[in-house]
Amino acid sequence: MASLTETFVAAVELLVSGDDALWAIIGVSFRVSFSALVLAIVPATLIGFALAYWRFPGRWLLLSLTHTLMAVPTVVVGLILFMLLSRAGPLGDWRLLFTQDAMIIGQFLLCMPLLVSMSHSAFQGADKRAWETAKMLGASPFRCLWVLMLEVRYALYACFIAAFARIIAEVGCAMMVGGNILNYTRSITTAIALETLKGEYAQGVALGLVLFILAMVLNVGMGLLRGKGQLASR
Amino acid sequence: MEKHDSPTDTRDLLSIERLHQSWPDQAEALFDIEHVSWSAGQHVWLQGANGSGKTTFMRLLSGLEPVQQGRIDLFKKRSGAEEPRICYLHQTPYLFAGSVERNLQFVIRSLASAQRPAARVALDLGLQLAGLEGLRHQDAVTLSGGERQRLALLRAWLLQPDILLLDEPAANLDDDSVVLMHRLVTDLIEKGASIMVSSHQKNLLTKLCNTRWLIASGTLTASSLEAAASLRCRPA
Repeated sequence: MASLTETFVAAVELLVSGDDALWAIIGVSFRVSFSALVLAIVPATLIGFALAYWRFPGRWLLLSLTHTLMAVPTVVVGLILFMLLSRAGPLGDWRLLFTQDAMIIGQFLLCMPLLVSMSHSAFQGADKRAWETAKMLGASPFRCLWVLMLEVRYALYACFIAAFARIIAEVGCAMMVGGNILNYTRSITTAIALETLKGEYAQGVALGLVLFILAMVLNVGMGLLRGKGQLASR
Repeated sequence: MEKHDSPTDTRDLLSIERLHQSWPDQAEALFDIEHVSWSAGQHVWLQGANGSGKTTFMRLLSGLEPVQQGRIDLFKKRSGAEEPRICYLHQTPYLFAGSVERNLQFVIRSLASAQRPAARVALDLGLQLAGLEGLRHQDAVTLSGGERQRLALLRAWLLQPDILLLDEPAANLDDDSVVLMHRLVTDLIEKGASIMVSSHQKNLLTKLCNTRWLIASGTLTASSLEAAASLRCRPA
């Protein structure tokens, strides 16, 4: 087994040399996670808004369920989705198991509770006068919502970044419903798990570096947004 | 809130029937109002002690609060006319992020496309009336308390509402700001708007009112006030 230093150097070489297999894996990860996030953002934000602004029967239950779902391990979501999508499952006819679409569905389900919960918190902290003022000045309901979203935009950005960070770093669901197929459903995290088992540490470390750099970029971004989102009197 | 065609010639703006409102989880009624109507040309000074529910009452009229029991009916000026536009101004106004002009452009974009050119022309006049012409490009967040109130009123002025509800508009304002606000409100009245002003103190804005509504012990009592300002109200 190579030393840690040799492995690290080999990993950096793999990254900078533009290794096709490595960058294909990175591409799959970003494509799947970004698609899941884009699909989830609109419904999750609307649900978060509805939970923050309307009192209706079952609201408290929905909020509790959302918070509970945030804590469900990714592998459990993967297991349930696997059973639904497998040939014998109720959605077996869709033939989605071991495809990128299945991974997108899995990551969509994983980020929805987080997005709903965080956007609900963002809207709950918003100044209600923003909505009311827009309404009084003749704006349509959609425009009123847009005004409110602008009011809490930094909190919403942070919510989207947190959701993306959660799904791009998950391994359980992607492994179970994606199947870790080379150049198709092999993502950063499933590749790290496989390469480590094979003793090919360099590629695993290189992919780990990508996730580390991504985490750093996302956190710096969130830090900058938090700074901009300081309390302002309006 | 129900909306109807107005019965001919009565020129009622709105009427309140058997309004019963209470705070959530409290049995005691905040209001119990049997019947009140508000006619065009009536300008109301809404009075009541702190906590009597003046703000809640105005929010109910504007539709920002749901009516628990009873009804508030808004009447159209005539059959087939548009629903009357009602605008409530918060005691502490909310200004949108961006410049003074951006706040005003928000209103113009809310108007029907046929009304926008006239509103764009009126914008310059409005800035002068409100004493904000030099602050057109200034970030609204940096405005002083009086400037914020005037900008909020100027947005409503651009909207040209049929009913304008002003919640403690002169609280903490200097005399100059009150005079500028008086100019804007007077102009709105001359164009046919009816106003309601809630205030504890008499000021230039309450002097525009010819009717007093007093909220006390959960009921509303209406009485006539001598109109201090003689206003030329053009028929709408």
